[in-house]
Amino acid sequence: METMSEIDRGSGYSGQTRRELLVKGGGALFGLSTVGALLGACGGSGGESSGAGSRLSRFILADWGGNTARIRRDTWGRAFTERTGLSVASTALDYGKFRAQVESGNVSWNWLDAEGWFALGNEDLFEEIPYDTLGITERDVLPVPNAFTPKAVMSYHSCYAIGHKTDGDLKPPEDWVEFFDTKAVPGKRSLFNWPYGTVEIALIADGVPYDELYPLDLDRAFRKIDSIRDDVVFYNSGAESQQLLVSGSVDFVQAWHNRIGSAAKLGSPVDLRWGQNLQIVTHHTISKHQKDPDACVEFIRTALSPEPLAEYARASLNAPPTQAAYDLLDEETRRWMSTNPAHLELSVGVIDDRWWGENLDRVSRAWTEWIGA
Amino acid sequence: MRPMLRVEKLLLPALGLVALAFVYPAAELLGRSFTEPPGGFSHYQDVFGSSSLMTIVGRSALTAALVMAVSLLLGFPVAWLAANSSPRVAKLILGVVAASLFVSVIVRGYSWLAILDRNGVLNTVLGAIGLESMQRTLVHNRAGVVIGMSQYGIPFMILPLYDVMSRFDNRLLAASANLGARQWTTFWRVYVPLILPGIGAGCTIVFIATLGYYVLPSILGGPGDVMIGELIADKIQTTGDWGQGTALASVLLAVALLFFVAFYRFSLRGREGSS
Repeated sequence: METMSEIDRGSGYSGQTRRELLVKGGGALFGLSTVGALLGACGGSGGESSGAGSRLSRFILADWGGNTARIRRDTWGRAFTERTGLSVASTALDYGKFRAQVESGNVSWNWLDAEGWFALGNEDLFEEIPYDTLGITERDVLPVPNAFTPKAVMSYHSCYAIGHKTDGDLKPPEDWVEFFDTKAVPGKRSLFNWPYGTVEIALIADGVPYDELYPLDLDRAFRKIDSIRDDVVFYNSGAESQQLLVSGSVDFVQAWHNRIGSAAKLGSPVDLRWGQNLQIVTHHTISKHQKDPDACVEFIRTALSPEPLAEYARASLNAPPTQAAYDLLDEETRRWMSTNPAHLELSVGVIDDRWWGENLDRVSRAWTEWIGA
Repeated sequence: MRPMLRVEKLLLPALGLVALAFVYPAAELLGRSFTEPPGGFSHYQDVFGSSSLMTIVGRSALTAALVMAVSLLLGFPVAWLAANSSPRVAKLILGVVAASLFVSVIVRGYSWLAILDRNGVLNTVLGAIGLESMQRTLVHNRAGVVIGMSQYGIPFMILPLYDVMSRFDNRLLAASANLGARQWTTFWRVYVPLILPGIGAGCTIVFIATLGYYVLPSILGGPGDVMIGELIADKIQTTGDWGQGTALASVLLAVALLFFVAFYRFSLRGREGSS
């Protein structure tokens, strides 16, 4: 059996959730890195590490920890440091703390890895995106909706697809309809214990067409999941989704595509079925009341330029949103990309982050009460 | 009021620490359950009015009771053995029992996963000796929670039991037998009443510790086995719902206190009845 650390070293999922971070003691991490940031800020006033013209001593990325944060520093961060001379550090992202920073007018995080629902649902926290200076146009972008919005521009793409073992006798489900059909396709399944995306998947499996998904019918989704609940093990984090599949605790898993790709690249006998895959868009934002908004714009410009974006895609297996970056990828990496044309062809659509931005609190409360009772 | 003895004054620093680090934050938390908007008793009305939240509260009490019973059943013979062995053997037994406390609960949780999961050690062994029909997945469900929590609880049951049992005067058993009591009668009417304070202490610790426990249920159970501790963490950390979170915390505290008082009176009654 592969150990967790082996899997984790190769993975780079950025769609970890607030739950995952908090469950793993993100509080302590936050404390340490905040102290680090403060020390950095004090030490930096001498100016020894300051980038030319910037008022920052360091550029702080609010991120989801572990490999995710490391890969981001090693790719986007390194390219940014080469361009600006500003060094980059990570701290633990917590949306509540971020909102408190913006509302108090004292923002110490220079960039955050905002999930789409947060970026699109909290526009009061962000500045307009200066598209004229970003050097990117709609023509460069792979065909995914919500890529350009006034206060958020896409950063990378991901999707929910079906992870399965390749060394068993069981036939994997080809799409969500089969994933929820335990008679036609027997085997243990694993679903994410979080409503974002999982509710859509249950409704799609129940035959709801994509254009009729929103507003999401929660009761119908819960009924659908209840109908196979005896065959479901729920997971709470991306790492756990890999571990359940690789260790053989389950046969199939609703997974972020890059989690399965990373495990496969490390030699685990796992693969993906892309039928009805559900696309996820993540966004760059520029928070209000930053000390140096220009540095943030420069970071976004760097992160959207072809080479750093391709490098990030190769390391994390999250898909680049621009054609120029996609063109730089080798065949083996493209095979795992959620924006591979063949995979987009099979997709049902993109999660509606505008809807989630308005409804996540209510839905997550309903989810907790339904699943716990 | 009599003046404080000098020795009692030594308690003041500890009491001060408890007041500062426990009483004050607990009071602050309880206060928030009334002051968080919309305020008043609204969060309690929500909690008591929600069948799913009450299900989780009830499930926590039931699971804690089950873990307490398993710990008592399994811990009793071990404590008895230690109390009735030579000091050397007793030390060895208690050493082994205490040693398990040095292993982090997270490590223990994941060890149980490795043993009890579908492809775990237990099922592999059962398969190897031809007992496929007995293979079960004992984690990601209630069984996993009870097994993991019982392992956690047993030392806390054994230690107070041992304390009382080792001070038990074994001549009482002989006296009882002398007076014509059968072994069973002696056990129930002489032994058990006299060690009742130990049983009460062990049950109180295990029940209360299990009731609000958070890590093991989250590793070994499924979302349908969520206990009140996980629910409170979820309300406060994930959804930022301080009103309901603190109201639930108050309910947890009330249930724990209720059981504490009940057990305390129960073991006191044992002592009075026997003296």
